[in-house]
Amino acid sequence: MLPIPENIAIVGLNIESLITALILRKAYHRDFVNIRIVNIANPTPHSNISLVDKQLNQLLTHYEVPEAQYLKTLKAVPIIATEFDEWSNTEFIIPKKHEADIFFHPLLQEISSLKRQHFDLRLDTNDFFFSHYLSAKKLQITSESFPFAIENGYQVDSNALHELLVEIAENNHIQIDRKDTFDFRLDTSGNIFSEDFGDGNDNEYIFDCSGFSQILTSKLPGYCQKQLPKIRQNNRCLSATLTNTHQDRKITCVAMKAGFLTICNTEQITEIQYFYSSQYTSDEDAKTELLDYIQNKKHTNVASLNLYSSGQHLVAAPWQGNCVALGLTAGFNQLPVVSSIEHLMLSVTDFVDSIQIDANEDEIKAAFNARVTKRYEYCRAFGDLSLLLQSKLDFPYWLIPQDNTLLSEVSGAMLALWRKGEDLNALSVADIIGEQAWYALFCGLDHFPQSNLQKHVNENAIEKEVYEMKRRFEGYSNNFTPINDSFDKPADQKTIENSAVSEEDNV
Amino acid sequence: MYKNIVVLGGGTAGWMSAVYIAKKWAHKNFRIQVIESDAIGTIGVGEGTVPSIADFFDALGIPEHEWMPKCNATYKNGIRFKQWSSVDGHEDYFHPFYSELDAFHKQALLTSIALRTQGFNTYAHPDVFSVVSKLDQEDKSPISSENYLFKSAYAYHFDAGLLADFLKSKAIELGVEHTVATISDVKLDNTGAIASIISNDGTEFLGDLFIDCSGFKSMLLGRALGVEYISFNDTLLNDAAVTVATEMDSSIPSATYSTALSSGWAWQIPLTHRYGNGYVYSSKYISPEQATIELLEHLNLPEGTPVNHVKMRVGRFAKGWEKNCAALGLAQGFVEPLEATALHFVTQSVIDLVSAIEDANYSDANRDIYNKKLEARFTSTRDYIELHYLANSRTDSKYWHAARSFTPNRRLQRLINAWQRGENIAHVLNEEKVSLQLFSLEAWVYLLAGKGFYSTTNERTLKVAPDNVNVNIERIKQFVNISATHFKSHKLSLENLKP
Repeated sequence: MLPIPENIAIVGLNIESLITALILRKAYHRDFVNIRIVNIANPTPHSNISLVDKQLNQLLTHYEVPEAQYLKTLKAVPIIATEFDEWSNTEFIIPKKHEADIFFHPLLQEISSLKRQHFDLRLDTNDFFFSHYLSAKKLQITSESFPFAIENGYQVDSNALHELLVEIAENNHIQIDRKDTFDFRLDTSGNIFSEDFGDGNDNEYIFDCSGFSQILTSKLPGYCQKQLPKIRQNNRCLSATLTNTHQDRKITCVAMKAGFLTICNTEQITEIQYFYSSQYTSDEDAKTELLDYIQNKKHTNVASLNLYSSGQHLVAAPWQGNCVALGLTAGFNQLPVVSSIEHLMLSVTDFVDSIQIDANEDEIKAAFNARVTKRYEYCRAFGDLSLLLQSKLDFPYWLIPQDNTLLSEVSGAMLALWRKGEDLNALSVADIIGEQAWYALFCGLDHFPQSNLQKHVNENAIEKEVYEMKRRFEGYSNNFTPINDSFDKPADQKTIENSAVSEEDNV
Repeated sequence: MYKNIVVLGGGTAGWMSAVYIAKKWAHKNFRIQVIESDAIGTIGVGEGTVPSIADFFDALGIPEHEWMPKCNATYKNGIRFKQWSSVDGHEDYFHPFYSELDAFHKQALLTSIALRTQGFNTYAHPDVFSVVSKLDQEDKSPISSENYLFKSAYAYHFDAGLLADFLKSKAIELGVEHTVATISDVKLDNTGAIASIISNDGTEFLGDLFIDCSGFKSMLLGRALGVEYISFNDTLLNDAAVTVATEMDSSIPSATYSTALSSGWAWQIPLTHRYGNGYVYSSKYISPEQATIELLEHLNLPEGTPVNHVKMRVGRFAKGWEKNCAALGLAQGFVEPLEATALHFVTQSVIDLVSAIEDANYSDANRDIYNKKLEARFTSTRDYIELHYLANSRTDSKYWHAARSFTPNRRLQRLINAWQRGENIAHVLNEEKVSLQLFSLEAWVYLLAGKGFYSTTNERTLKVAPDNVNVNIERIKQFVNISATHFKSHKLSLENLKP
């Protein structure tokens, strides 16, 4: 059994470390456990917008921050779906789970199964998700007369969130040490010690939240990256921040010439990140392409442009010795279907649960590592399959065949299930990407047989069921009031200015 | 080949059978006759139904607005059982019909109740999880607004006599021949099958297939063909009923009420213009006169109010289809009216009969399959109703002691043991191959939990529920309350049906 923590140090002063500290403080009383955050100089690029889910709301509610206040302070915009534009013939969404969807999931399963058996049936996947109706009709996401809930997330202002978390941490006996440098040493068992962590206490547990720097994790003797297949790898990220923009409750992923954009926004800013491969475009061309996109979409003022190196990674064993790698330190996937904060919160909860397990230390750590890395692998598989199965024909980046045999175990298994016409729930990790999301992905990418199609005898009956479903969703949507006009549509065109690129190619 | 079909009996069962067969075989040029006696009244105890009856009307292509007003029909969300239990907090409970809205919290219901059977202090009464139960409490219909369409299975209450008249007119439109005659004799052929039936005036009615809807007399299947009768009175004690109609209240309930009395139970069935009331009792424990007095007191009616008395025979014939004769309705069997299954047996039997005959090229080749299916339906229904009595906890009369004192069959005993040990009864139902078509897993749970049939009833001895139990009862209550606001008052829904 692992020791109950008495001293905890968290390396890095950022949103991830602060959330970690607050989850641990919630789990461990201040009279018995010291929690200390040690600031370090950290070159990890700082995103202006953070993607969070409702778990953070619950955490902040525990610290008596009312949800309404928190959302207002953070200029939050809900997330009800991730939209994929230009990846296939039609736009499609990966919805946040809505409780009303479950009644129609069997129909989606049935139609997709028949289509995989070469039956020629019409399927517009978005119709099966109530989030789509809320978005298309520009409706509020909650209604007092409709008790089914959506598990939406939020796009929040990172700086405001950071400030809020610092305030909560300082009011809840979490010590924050701001240092420019610090030293640490490893003992023969691979445990980390540092005078900078406090008053000479041995810290039973140290959490590495240093982001891509992996300040502690990368120095551990057993450190290695888990090798995952490389499907259309992107190594660069061009990030634009725009002000005075429209508000969209979907995160958007747009396929570009040599990679994809991810677009998110708060009430005040939009952040567009272009993940691309320098093999297929130059930085200058990527910049031109991005600015053209912004202009074509009638977006708004570009406040800043930053260029980073960007790769995906996954630490093979996030918990070694007394050090646990969390969040971006542990892994990073470019496609934002699951955010790094969601990963982090689940991992910290796993840690707290692990401490209570009555088993051998090594077994507990191995189980923790398996669970955490499996989550990343699921998310990675989701991204890999979206990059593999897209149907773009316009640019070399998308046309170069990928080696299917190099698919990860998870990707391969999900793809095999799909192609065999089987249900996809067998492999789902319920707390990270649900079965519905996989259906949305495969159906949205239109990954169905395209030849030797045949009519289905019950086609009319199936279409009638789809019609009835749409009628029901239309009815449900009448319970919701419209949102402010500024949501979900571009604002008037503004001049693109201040588009100089600042190179921060230091990751 | 069955081309000439004779239906004996013109009650609800007779006309249901005739109209369904006429509709299904409309283009076969078969001859269908209904022989109805004007000397024999219809019993009409089947005023309450279960949701499968909707399939029957759908098959006939008759919409609600056409038949419901003509039959004084109302909607039925389920059955509320009152005073069947003496356990605190479980004095009454609701058995709702299926609804997607209730299915949404099915897991929460099953988890909470499973933990209660294991001795944890969780919500143990099923009503709190059910939107449909709330609809009953608020006298609302199962019809929701267009903004809140969720699938649900509801049933109806109606005046059985009016329904028989309505179906009779439909059947005659479809070419069914109607003859008023009292049958006095049955001729068998040399194979033992029925060749013809003969009326008092000597008229002979020939047929290839005879449908016996002659009520408890079972003139063809029982008397003429001598099929063995299996009585259920070793476990189900009730054998009589006294009935009376009362005025409707200003608001029309949307459920049947079943209230336990000293020697049986009383039903209250709302029609548009009146209540149908009755007291089903065991004549071994109460006389018809005493039963009448008790019913009138229960209904606050003055002494001397006219009532009707009905004798019941609870049991079934060993085969529902013998030779060229299939019995439907009371002539086939009857498992007392507690769960309003009488007309379910009629509609399902005629649907099964038509399918069985069609599948066998209009012969009797599938007769054994039909009979086995019918037997299974009787078995699961009887089990479910017996469990009502086994799980009762009334101590106020000899009747109720006796009603739960019989030795349960092996299936029920396993089920009860599993429940009281806190095990999953779904496994038992599955292993015992109990049909869940009419009574789903939830229905079995509603019955046991609703009556508070827990091995530990002292709340002080219950354990604190585990932290990780994912049942947010406040949210469920909120869900139920909000959902109920989307349903119209029952009375208004019925008024909207009128042409």
